[in-house]
Amino acid sequence: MSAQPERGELREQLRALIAEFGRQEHGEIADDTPLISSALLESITLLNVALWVEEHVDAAVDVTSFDLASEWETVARILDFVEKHRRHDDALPAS
Amino acid sequence: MTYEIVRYEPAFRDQVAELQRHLWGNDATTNAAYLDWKYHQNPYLDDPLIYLAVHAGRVVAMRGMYGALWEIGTPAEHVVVPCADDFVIAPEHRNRGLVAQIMNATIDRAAAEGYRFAFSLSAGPVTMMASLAAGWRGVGPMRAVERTGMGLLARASVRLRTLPLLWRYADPLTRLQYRLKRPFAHLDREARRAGGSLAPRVQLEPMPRVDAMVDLVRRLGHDGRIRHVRDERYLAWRYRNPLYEYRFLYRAADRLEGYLVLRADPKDPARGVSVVDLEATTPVLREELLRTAVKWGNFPQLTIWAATVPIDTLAAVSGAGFVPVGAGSRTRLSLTILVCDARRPSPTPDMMLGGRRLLDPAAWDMRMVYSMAG
Repeated sequence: MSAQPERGELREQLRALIAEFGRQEHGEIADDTPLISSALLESITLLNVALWVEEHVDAAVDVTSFDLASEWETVARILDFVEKHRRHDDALPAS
Repeated sequence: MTYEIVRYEPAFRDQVAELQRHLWGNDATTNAAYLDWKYHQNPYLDDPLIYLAVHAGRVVAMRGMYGALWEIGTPAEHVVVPCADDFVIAPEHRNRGLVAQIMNATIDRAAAEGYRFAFSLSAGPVTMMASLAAGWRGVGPMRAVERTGMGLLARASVRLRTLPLLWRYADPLTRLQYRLKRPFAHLDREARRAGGSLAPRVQLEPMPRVDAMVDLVRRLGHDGRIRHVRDERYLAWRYRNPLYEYRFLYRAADRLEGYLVLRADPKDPARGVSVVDLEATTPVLREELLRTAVKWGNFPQLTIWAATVPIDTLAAVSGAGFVPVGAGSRTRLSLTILVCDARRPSPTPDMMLGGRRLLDPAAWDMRMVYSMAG
């Protein structure tokens, strides 16, 4: 069984993903930079983030079963979401 | 770049038809006809509830809401709820912050016109994510199930072209495949051969029997769940959708006992055929209609939303060979009802309409025809 990436590694992956697909005019993305309320993450980027999250929790995620605008508002919250749901499979909002 | 978010006016009609080449289809004339049908001829909203983003005098994005009349509760309360649809941004203007602007403008207008809620019934994955980010809430997936038939031909033809000796058989297969581009060809031919009947007392027709269908729906009654009103006005309008073709299977004796409606997209036959509405007086008749469509349609791909099928008919659907589509990931594939409280940012925690909880999947009696997927 392969080891799961640490939070620091996940953070860099997520930042790279957002930098690649997100709006280009943003500056440095900090852990607490608003992503959704600032429209930094738009629809296609959000979809890519959802696929990335699914990959890292290793399950389908039902994105309609939680308040996405709140729970994925920052890099830190997305990382919390991944860590929470891969640690506690029974809590996963999956299909 | 700067954008002006404006309400649609008829002067924008041609530009919208052009813009919608990115979503509706390549033919701007058909797009204009669809715009007219869906928004100008809509029975429930007099003025199109459409917002546009304009840059340098050009329409570069659109979000629309078409009118829909819902019945809820017992006795039924009738409520017009606008349904969000047709969200598109020209490729060169994507990722520039337009999504939230145009979505918010549309829902704010709906609220200003007195609508408490809005629904979204056919959002693709990208629009669904954008909607969730804008505060829409999911009710539940429609659980598409499909039955695949001759779709193997397309794959076999491609494969044959790469093989020594066997490549010569690829063209006949391709010709056969071409026939599949007319999704109802087989069904229509079988019905013609039998004088319109596909089975005893089952007729195939290209048009809705509006009065008989309305009469059947009324006789079947309403259990109070949220559903679209299927009256004469609605059915006469709904099946004139210029993007799709429809076929109607009618099971009738002295009067109509059941019907099944099939939808195909002639400009994109690869989407396959869908069952968009199915009603009958008994589960046995529902199964008979379904099996008749499967047997005589010979469709490469036939889809039903399992969430719209009565519990007593689900076994018949499974028995006819339907299997879940894309069970691996909801994010990518599953179409979901979305609901928005137009009074954001202070929505009620428990969205209620006509005494029903909108976020409860069991409160809905959906049909694909209520959405524009149908």
